[in-house]
Amino acid sequence: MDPASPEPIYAQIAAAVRREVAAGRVRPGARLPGARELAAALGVNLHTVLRGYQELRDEGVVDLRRGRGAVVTEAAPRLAGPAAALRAFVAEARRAGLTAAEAAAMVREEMA
Amino acid sequence: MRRTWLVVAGVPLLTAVAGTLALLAIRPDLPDPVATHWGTSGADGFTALRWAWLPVLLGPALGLVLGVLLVLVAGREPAARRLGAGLGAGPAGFVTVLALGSLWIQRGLADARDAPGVGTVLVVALAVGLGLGAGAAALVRAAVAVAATGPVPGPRLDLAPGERAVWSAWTAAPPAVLALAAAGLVPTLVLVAIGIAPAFLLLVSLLVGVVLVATLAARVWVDERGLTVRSPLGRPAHRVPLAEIAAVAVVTVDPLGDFGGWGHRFGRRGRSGVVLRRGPAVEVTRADGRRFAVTVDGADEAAALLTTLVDRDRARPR
Repeated sequence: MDPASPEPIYAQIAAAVRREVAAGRVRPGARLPGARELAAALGVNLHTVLRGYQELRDEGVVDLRRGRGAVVTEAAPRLAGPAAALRAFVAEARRAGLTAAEAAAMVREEMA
Repeated sequence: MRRTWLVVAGVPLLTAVAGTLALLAIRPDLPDPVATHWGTSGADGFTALRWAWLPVLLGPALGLVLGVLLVLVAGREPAARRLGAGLGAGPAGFVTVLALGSLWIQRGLADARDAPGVGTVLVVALAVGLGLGAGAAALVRAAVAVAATGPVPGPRLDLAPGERAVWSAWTAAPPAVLALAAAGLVPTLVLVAIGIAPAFLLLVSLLVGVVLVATLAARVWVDERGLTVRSPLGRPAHRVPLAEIAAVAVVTVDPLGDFGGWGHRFGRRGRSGVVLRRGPAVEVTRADGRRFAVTVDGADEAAALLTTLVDRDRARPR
């Protein structure tokens, strides 16, 4: 994680997790470190880590459970790679001014 | 080291002396035989008064042996010396107070069968034992942090100048070891369930269970703070800051052979570690030669990152 990089820290954290999951180094069922612990280790704000974890939750890469923290889902290995690419695609789409519907249509076209 | 021996030997001896003096003082008032065992319905075991001195001296003797042994074997590690001091003083205090207390409540009785219950004595003895143990341990000098200097040998990771990296993993004892540990709780549970043992023993089982959970699994961190190994319950936790690390290595550890068992342990020759399974471990050597190891998967990566971070820390202007 590079604090000097233009990419927001929470996004870097999420990206790092996706990389590990996609590479198989972190397997489904594995528990990610607690947000508080990770924040202390990285020297960043707790909410930064939480935001990163929430992004992963929204993608379906992890499950956030009370008491157990962030757990890698069964589908995560399949989702991690596409989820990472998705971030880049959505960023591009936004820059080009596409609406959500237009972007979704592109994806559907491509996947058909 | 001299202070350690003074405490490890001195506290049990003082306890023995104090206990003997107290025993001599109350002896004339005690019935003969005295009650020495209590069951659920009061005193049910009696011994001739002339053997009353035995437990009063046995506690300190046990404490002395425990403490001395531990310090002899692992005395190089300051934490082991503190533990030795505590183990010397704690049981000594506990047994002596228990023995004396159980006699104290029989002062003035004509017949030992009238002896009251020992509940209070037990609680007081526990408190004294814990207090004495903690006090003795506190008397022994704790580890002094020594800053390491110079480069650390070993493979490194490629990190960009401003980049921050952390490495973390969960490590736990293999299921077989966990099962073995849990199995130790079963007899107590069974005995309480069928009514032979008093229910408060469940508290003991609970305590043991808590200790097992705290020591047979851990989360390992490699980051700017150094190498940290923390129990799931927070404590016990060990941290070796980057500044104190003189060497990083990946070693193969056998918990039973090298450390005498699983968990947070002291090994031979100044080694300590959290050793939960046989196999690769990250081992750091401090400037004063003390080594700390933790068994964890991915030790190679962890060690490389740690070496890189130590390098960076050394290069930092002070």
